[in-house]
Amino acid sequence: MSKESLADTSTSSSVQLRNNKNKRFFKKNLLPYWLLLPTISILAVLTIFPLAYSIYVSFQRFNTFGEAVGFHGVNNYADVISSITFWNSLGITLLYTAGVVAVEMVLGLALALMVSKENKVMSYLRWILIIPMMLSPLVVGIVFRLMLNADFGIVNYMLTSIGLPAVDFLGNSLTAFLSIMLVDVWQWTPMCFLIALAGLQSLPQDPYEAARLDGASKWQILRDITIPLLKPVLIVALVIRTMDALRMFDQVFVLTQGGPGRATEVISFLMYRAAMRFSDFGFATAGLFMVLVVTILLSLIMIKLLNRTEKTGGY
Amino acid sequence: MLRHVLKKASVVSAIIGGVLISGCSGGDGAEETTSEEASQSISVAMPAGAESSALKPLISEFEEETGTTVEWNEFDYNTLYERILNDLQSQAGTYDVIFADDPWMPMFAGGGYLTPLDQLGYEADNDFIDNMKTITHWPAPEGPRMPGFEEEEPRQYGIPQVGNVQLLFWRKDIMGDAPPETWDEALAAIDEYSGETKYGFVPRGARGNPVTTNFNAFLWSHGGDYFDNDWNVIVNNDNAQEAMDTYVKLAESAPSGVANYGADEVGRAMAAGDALMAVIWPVWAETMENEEESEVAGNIGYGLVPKSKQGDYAPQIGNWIFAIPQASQNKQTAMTFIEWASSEDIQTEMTKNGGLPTRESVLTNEQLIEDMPYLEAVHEGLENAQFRPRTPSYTQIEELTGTYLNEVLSGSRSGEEALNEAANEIEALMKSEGYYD
Repeated sequence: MSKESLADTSTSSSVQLRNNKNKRFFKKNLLPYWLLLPTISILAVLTIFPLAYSIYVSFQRFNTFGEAVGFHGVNNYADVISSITFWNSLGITLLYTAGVVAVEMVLGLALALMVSKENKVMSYLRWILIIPMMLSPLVVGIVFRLMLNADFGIVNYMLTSIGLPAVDFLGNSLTAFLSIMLVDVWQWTPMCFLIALAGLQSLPQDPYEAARLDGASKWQILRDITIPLLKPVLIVALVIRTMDALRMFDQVFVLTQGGPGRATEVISFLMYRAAMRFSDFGFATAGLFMVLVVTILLSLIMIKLLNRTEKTGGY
Repeated sequence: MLRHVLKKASVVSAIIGGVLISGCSGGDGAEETTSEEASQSISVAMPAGAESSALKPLISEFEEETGTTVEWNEFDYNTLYERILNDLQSQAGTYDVIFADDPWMPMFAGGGYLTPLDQLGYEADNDFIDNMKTITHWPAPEGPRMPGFEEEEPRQYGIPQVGNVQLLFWRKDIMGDAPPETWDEALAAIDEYSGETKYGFVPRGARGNPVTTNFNAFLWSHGGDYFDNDWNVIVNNDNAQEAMDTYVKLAESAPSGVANYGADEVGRAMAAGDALMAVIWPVWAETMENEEESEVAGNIGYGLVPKSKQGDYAPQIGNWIFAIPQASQNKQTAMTFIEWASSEDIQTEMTKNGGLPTRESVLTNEQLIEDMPYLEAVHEGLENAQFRPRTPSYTQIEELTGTYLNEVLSGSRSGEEALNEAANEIEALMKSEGYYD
């Protein structure tokens, strides 16, 4: 064998070795991607494609019959911005969100503090308190619609039977708005309660013992120990409930259909109507993307707040 | 080991990918399984309630006669519209027969989503009341036509099945056998019999379709309308304002929560004996006469919705129409079904079950008139009825108008302001849809 052929053989075997090594390395490193593929496929089909397609739709013009008839530029977005009904709905949605989330957080924390002690009664009470959350929002809406009916509803029956005047719950702008808030608070306070309770049960006991030894009152313990320690957990509840409340639809659909007038026309309902009843898909998707921006901004602010709390010392 | 894992992972991915891909391209498979010869099964989309419950018990006869299975799907009013429209626009062919409220026909037929019945060998039947034949055609044989459809020959796209028309229900045990002929007489009766019932007139005041439908009877009977013959908006002219004044005056005797009243609440108030009069769909008559459900069985009169001094009777037609989507894979079977359902025999049986026929021969059947005290009024109402503007934008017009009318009933806006605002918004809508180009 000549020197050259020997050199060739050694080169080719080292290339083969390197190839095999590369192949193994490639195979080894590809495994995570193979394992991720099913999830990515499902996400691509069910989330990424619809999202991308709805961005495309938001730049399309639709005719009376709901057919896309060409590129519409940013006109759908311009229509949304110049629409008084959009700003009215956005205002109603933000007011509704601020109201329900504030009440739910306070009530949820109060209930969690009330039942956090370990005994048999409290453990039953905990189960009872989370029942509203387990019901379908539509069912809750229908039940409240019957209960709040101005003429046949049980609430007015009870009010009048104790000598109070009947209230037109769903036929007056203010009471209708308060009624949908009441339904949301009834159904979703348990979620805040559950999160706060989980947080309370995992708090360290040392600060409490130290505080008690120092003679701190119950109020001082709550204000200076419990709430600061619970802050990160409460912010998580705040973020989840805010995002949920911003896209609320069911209660309005069942209870008021956005009325009286436009008093309870939250943004999801306005856009649902634009898309599903009037086939104006361009306007609806453009409007919903603008709401998405608002939701992301609010969430970012709250997450930043959470990070700051963690840095300055959570538990 | 690694190879084994990789192999397994690729098999799993292939299966999931396959499932996803087959899910996305399910159209062909669906076509195969729903082909007419193979399945002999049709899917029907119906509204939940009295409009469909009178026909439903008879379906088994059709199934026995033809060997076809009928899949009966019921939805509430709004959901039905959305389901049908979604199905038509996506050309999915989920439903072989749809049951459409008459103002939906311009959207469905105008969009090219329905099958013209002459294509399936159907020949127009003169036994149906003229008004009803008109609303099953597109483009509209009468009144202004949608731009772009001026030259088209009207074709029939559906068969009217439920002869709904607004009627006046009144307490004949209090007011006597004769209904008020004019709105002024109705107002006078409310004053005269004040205290006999809890409420005088009960409007259907909920936002959108309910309140607009209720108001239309006032608008038209005062000589008002939404558009003139060139699509100019006239919903705030003098006649319309006068109609609004009458409506507001009558609503003064209504329950406090009326701004949230749909057909169910109005019907219940009447059946409970709380109301002196109301404008109601005649399908509620069966409930009124049912002693188990009504406190006033035998005490309700059924007649034409009053007119104004200067106007004519003009109750609103609210027919339900059978139609066949273009995307249906079972058109011929669907045609056989709707011809069967709208036949004289079946409409007679349907009427006995509390349904409302659309055939002259059934509406004038003496035995039925004797058994159903409201049938004569329905017949009279249908002959005097007016239909809603024949434009696919009507759903939006109804929504706009209904939002402002609802505000009037909830006390947050004056009648005049509401009609002016509605007119402005309708004009802007029609302009954006190209009606004034």
